[in-house]
Amino acid sequence: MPASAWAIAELGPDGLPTRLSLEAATAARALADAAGSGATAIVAASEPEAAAAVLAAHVARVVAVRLDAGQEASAGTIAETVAALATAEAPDVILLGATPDGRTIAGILAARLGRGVLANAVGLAWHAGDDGALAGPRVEMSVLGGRAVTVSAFRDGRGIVIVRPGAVTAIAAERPGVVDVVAPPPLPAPAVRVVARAEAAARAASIEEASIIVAGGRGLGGPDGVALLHELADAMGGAIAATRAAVDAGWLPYAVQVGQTGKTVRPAVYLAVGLSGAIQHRVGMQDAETIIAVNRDPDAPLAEHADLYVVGDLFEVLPALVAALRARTSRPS
Amino acid sequence: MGARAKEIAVRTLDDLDLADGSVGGAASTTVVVAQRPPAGRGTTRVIREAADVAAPEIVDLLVARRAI
Repeated sequence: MPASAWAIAELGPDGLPTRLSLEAATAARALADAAGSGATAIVAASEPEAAAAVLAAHVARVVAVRLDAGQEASAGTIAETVAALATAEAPDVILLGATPDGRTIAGILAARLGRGVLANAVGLAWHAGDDGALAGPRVEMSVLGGRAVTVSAFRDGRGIVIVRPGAVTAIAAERPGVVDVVAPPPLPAPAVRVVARAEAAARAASIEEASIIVAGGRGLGGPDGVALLHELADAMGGAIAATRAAVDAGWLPYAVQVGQTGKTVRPAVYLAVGLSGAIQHRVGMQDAETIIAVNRDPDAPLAEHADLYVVGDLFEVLPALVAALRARTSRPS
Repeated sequence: MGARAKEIAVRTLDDLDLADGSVGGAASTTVVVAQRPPAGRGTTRVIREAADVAAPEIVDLLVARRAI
């Protein structure tokens, strides 16, 4: 039987799949196509139909689990739902996005299904097993703080892969897939219950989806620097991000922290302001397509990784940059 | 030093009722089949001029990369 690939969808505040979920769905389709099967996406929500329709544009089949009233779509509930479905259908590969919920679900699935996990995939492809090795996914991972790339496989060809943002580009399939709306399987009582939710500011919620990110560090110095950062983000149409130092100082919320203890992003442009680019921060942003930095220190670590490095005072460069951007956008084309 | 005085308990796999093949590399569900250095980003262009020179350079790069 050809190997099968599943993608587990995560929904945004609008109830629709995040961009990362569509990337995971696209990756599942690529693996399944190469293996000669069809890809499946799983979505579990109280009203999953709209999300399922979006996912169906990317995979051959969507299983939309309509949760019962009172069942919250928490990571634990989704994991137990997927575990029950996977026990019945035994997919070969299960893909999830590299988010806090994605990692939680992957961990629970690994325990429930007895599968291995390959985390932080920056690329993946199907290996046909024509060289004596078992057929299965080959997963590229950025390791040692980005100093090396490994290619890993599951010993039995089957497992769980956590996919980083931007590892693949979300592309719709030629033909839409079918949607099966199903009732939730019997689930154990959740071990963890969400007791409150707070909506993050729009910018905070969007940094993993943003194509332009303007990030600030300790060099912002305080509220005046943060105000400049917001002004620049507005002028560029970008999202705000921060180093741990800027978050620890209370200048920006944890939801926008990028790096080892924050989020991993892969935008088209990452403009770093007043941050040195220490390895703990770089591991979260070094795969950005274009990196621009503004820093007074000519020898900061980011000077070796940026495409363009401006040695200067951010309180002089940022106002000039905002003015130049506004002049350009107001210019008649 | 208090830490040196603490007893260090040593347990073998037998003590824990674990078979040799159930831990370590033999039990791993994944294997690294290749490794390589990451693709280089190319050289960094450094600008040391004043803000009124640096800012248009940044804008030009953003335009060249179709970011704005």
